[in-house]
Amino acid sequence: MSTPSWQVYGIRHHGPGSTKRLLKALRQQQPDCVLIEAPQDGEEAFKHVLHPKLVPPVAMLMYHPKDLSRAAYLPFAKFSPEWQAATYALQKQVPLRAMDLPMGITFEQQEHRELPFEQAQGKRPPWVTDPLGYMARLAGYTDTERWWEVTFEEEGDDLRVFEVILEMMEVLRNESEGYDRAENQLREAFMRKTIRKALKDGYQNLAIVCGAWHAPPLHHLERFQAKDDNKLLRGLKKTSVKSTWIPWSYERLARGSGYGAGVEAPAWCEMLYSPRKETAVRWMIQVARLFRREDLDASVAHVQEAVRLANTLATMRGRQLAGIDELEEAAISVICGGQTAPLDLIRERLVRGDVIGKVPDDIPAIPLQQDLKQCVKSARLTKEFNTTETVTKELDLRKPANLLASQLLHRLLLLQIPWGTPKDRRETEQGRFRERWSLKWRADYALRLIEAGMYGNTVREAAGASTRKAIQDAEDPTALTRLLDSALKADLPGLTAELLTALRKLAALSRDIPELMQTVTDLTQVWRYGANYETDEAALRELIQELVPRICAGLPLAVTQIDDEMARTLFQRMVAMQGALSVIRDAGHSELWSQTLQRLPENEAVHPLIRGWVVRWLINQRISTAAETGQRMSRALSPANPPDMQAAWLEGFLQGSGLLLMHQTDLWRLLNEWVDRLTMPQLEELLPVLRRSFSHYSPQEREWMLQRVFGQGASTDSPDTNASNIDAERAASIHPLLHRILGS
Amino acid sequence: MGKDILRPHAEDAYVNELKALQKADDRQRPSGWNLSPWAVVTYLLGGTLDDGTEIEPKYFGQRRLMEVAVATLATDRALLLVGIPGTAKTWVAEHLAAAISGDSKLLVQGTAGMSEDALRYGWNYARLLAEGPSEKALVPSPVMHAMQHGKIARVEELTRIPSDVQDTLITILSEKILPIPEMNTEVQAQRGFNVIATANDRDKGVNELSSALRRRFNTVVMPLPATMDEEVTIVRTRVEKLGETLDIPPGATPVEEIRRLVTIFRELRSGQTEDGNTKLKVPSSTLSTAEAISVINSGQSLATHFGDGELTANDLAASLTGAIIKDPVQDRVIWEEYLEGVVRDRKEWADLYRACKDLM
Repeated sequence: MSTPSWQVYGIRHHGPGSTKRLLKALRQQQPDCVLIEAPQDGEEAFKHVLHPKLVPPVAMLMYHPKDLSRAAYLPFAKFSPEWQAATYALQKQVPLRAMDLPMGITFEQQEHRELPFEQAQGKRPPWVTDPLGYMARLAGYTDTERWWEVTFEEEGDDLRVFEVILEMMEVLRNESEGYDRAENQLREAFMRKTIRKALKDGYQNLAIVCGAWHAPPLHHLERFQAKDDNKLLRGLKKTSVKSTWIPWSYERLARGSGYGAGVEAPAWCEMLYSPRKETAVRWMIQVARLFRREDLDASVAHVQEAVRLANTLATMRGRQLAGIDELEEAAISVICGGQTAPLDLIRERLVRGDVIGKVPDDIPAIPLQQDLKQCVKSARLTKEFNTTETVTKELDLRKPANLLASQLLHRLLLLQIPWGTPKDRRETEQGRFRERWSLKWRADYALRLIEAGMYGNTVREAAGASTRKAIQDAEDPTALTRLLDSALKADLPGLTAELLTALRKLAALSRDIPELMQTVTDLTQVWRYGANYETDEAALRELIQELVPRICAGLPLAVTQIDDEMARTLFQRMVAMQGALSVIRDAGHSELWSQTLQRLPENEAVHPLIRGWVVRWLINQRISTAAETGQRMSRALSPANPPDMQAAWLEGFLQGSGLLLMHQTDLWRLLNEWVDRLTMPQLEELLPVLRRSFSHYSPQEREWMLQRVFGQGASTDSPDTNASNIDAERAASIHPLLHRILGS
Repeated sequence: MGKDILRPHAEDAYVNELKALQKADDRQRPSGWNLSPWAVVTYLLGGTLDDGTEIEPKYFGQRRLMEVAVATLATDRALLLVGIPGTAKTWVAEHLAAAISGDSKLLVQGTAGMSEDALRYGWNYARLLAEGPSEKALVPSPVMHAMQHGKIARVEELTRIPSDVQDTLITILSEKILPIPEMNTEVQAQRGFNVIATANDRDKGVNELSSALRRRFNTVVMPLPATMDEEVTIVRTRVEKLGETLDIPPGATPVEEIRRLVTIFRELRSGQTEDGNTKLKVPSSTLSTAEAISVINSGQSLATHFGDGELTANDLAASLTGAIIKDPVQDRVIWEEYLEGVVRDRKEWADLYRACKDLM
């Protein structure tokens, strides 16, 4: 028997260039055992790799079965070297071993040490996290894969390429002694241990696939003593870890991964990985095709010119091949007319690709599902969860279990899983402590839950992350205030600050005054009841304070030249806004608001409904005098104005409780005097209008008004209604008419 | 070259730099070019040569854009610089022409009333009548001249030129020839010929390029300055230079006022405050760097001729308000909101707040 040998392949995680070379090299080497850099306790999960329905991008999810917040994702794309190495091994029926430190140990280490493992990665120097990328940048390339092509593709001998990388890494590692973390020493010790074990098991020809950085200490196995490594690893605690596969997307892959080496342009990598040549040309053709789909001009001549420009740019920058940067710049200049916006339109599909992986059903469940079951149990909703019937559930939020249930249902709503739909609350009867829900679990929610698994491993975490995404996507302030309300009810207080910031940004851009008024009203509600939750009251107040002056600045313009429908909306919003302001009780704001409103009544262009309401408000606030108001009223209700306008004005003016009207003597007298002044034909013409305006008072209120007109039940008589001056007979003659007007 | 000349050409003003670059430049030059693409980029963005010559930066901004522009000209494609007024389009075009051909004088100013003659050739009618069509009777346009001598021609405000006249450029740019049917001949462009056009994308009612013509151009959009300091530097440099030519007595450059003004312009333009905490509405005015320069200038001349020579908030307020409020209704609301929401809260800006409020 010959002496056993091993070949170390230092690769770049997710590097298509590495993958291509690796596969060629593996075919040349014909190993009898393949070891890859992946946590040893994830080895089991790799047996699914050949499953025809497991389609990358997918991620191996490793988690602590009892504490789901401790989990790690290991994403793989089709072009990831580890994925292809695993596929190769399984296809050739060569044993595949995962050699990295078990995730169970990593979890324990994170638990008991000050410095968590994975999070510390960001602080490590770039040549440790992505040594090949670092080398590429030194060589003047921003696109590592292009650098790989230029540097290594010329090399004919596949094994030789990896020798060169090994040498390079040795130099880099020697230069950066001391930067390496204890974590890496542990991991490398464990990798060596696994290799030794494989050799002991009698394999003669090992293929070892690892990140380039780890290549030297694995290659020079003989430089390390087995007993030293074992000593290092001895006594490390290890928890049990479960692994499963979940679908991943290029979008998430682009955001960085467990390795710390994210892929910026997965779709570009996929193109590089494909065996066909002329990547730049094919990329530009892809650009042109996507543009054509968007109905933008992109001819073959465009493609040709763009590729030429990209190549010239690369030459100017001293690079042999145009990378993704040069290609993008060329596409912008030649095809998009210098604008980046059209490229952004297709960038998702072009650079990241909208590819989402698939995971078959027969691979075990994800932690979010397990957490949901746990939550359902704590909220005592198990019975409702296990039935297909629609159940109505009353919740008293003062009871802890019911509070949990409410929070759970709200969180699921945020995850787009409407297991429970809130029923309209009858506020007056039930108060804020009660909620009514209608519950129905549907089969397809399970699927949505798996999708939501992308956001986190517990319902709480996932709801938070998905809301964060919703915040980014929200386009109008109303949607955000709704989210704010939901987030509070779902007990996700961490989101409040973010929501308020987003709200502030959106609101600042909005020119939609009714919408802004709605926002202020909603925010006031949240602010008012915010004490129940942990809200940042100061921030809320500050936002309200920012919005009010803006509304006041825009309002005079917003209420002019509008149609009836718009006027009605605005009118309601203004009434609500007025209510909100009286809750906030900020002297400055009330003053500003009142100044704004004072500008409205004299402006003929303002819708009469709003003018009427403002006039009424001004006299209520004793800002305008009775005389002024009387003049305004008779002007607004002059026959020269069309009847519908008069009706609108009056409706605005008579808004609110009838009781209030009766007890405000001045107001009552004004109305009375005005009716008095009308001639009979005028009155007849106005009757329908009057009737409509009075119709929204309750029958009882109308009865009281009638009595008041007759001089009965009035407690605060004004001098004019002194009975002595009135001709009783003449007065009586209008009774039938008044009856008709007041409609009782 | 007398020093009474109000504004010398780029190739004259920077003749020393160009000479030094030519000497130091050992990279490959496209045929017909005075410098290599690398040297052209260096000329535009500034730097120090191996022999110690300082190259003054002419363009403050992204290197990437200048690289694309130069690479475009090197691939024989015409270059179209697009941007809102005051983003140094013409400035860059002039310096590109000066660096590549050593001649920035071949210029056609696009106007609405322009005829084809301005892009092709005209006639000396006396000669034409006397001798008939002949080379001597022909009056070449700057573009034709550039073709004959392998130089860069500049077309300013391309989108102001009527569409049918614009399309004259198509043959010139794709076939690189200019037919002269009257004499049954043509002019074939020499190597080194190219066209740099500028266009303004803010104006309404311009003549949009036909897609056939647009396809002949690579477009570079000139952005507004990226950072605060960059913009302050540009404004300061230009204000100082302009002050010299306009004989405004040299006082201390009002750096603080410039910084304040640039802050306002940048915030309104980008729609958010510099600290990124508050979003703002964007007015319809362009608020370019060039406009900032002119606001400072007019403020300074107000201060010199009517004040005590020191630039104060009051001197600035008038031209500032004029620069921002272009649409009397919408912009006014936006400006008022900005004054109330942002300026008022900045304590050290109280003078400016009062001065602007007085004008509203």
